[in-house]
Amino acid sequence: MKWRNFSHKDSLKVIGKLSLEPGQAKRSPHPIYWYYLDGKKQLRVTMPNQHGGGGVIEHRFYQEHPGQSKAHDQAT
Amino acid sequence: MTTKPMGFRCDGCDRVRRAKPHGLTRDDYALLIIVRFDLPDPTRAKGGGMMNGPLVTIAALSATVESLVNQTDLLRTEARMRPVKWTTQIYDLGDDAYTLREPVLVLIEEYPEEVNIVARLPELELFGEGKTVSEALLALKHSMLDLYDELVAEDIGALGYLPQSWLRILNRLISKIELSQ
Repeated sequence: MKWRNFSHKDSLKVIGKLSLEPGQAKRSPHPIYWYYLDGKKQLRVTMPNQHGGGGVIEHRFYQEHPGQSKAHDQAT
Repeated sequence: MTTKPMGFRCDGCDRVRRAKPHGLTRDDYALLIIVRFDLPDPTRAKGGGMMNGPLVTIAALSATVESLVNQTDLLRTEARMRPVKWTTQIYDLGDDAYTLREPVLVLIEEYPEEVNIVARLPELELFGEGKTVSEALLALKHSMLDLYDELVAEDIGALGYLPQSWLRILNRLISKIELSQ
């Protein structure tokens, strides 16, 4: 199976659609976002830090996202 | 003096056909394959004549070999994409203000094609990446400290089920030292 390519621009849409709130990432190179439910922090999402938006995100990076969003079942 | 047979008479069409150079006919080869691999004899199958049976067997074997070649290619591709995984321990967080109470087991994933290494803490859903193992471990340590700082600063009531469990784990692992000025 060929990997589908996602750009940084695509990942930014996720932030808007899920209304993710930015978290504190003082040391980590990747920006952190939180998904809030009932006013509580529920999920932590790591976003790629590529600038410009056109670059393709490495598939290994977005392999992390299903793992992070799977936690949604436990959180709710 | 005996001579090698130059051909054999076909049961079906009654024509004389040429034998293979070393005396074995195509049917002989097919029968050898049947005996060697303990296959059901297709010559006894319904509608299969003495000539058609072995040919059917060879065709079936060719198809099997082809499918095995395809499967091997798929496995090779999958094996190439699969990372090499191993574990290591970290003893320090790389920051004077924090200490680790106990060594932490970290999962390392090496991706051979991308020349990239990912250090992972599955329980905390944290990862760090880099070109070398030490670079990936340092990124993971930074992620750990960021998460710890963020969760400690938050009111416990404002945390969901998972962040609360992460905070419990991090409180067990990390202690913050108040540095004197």
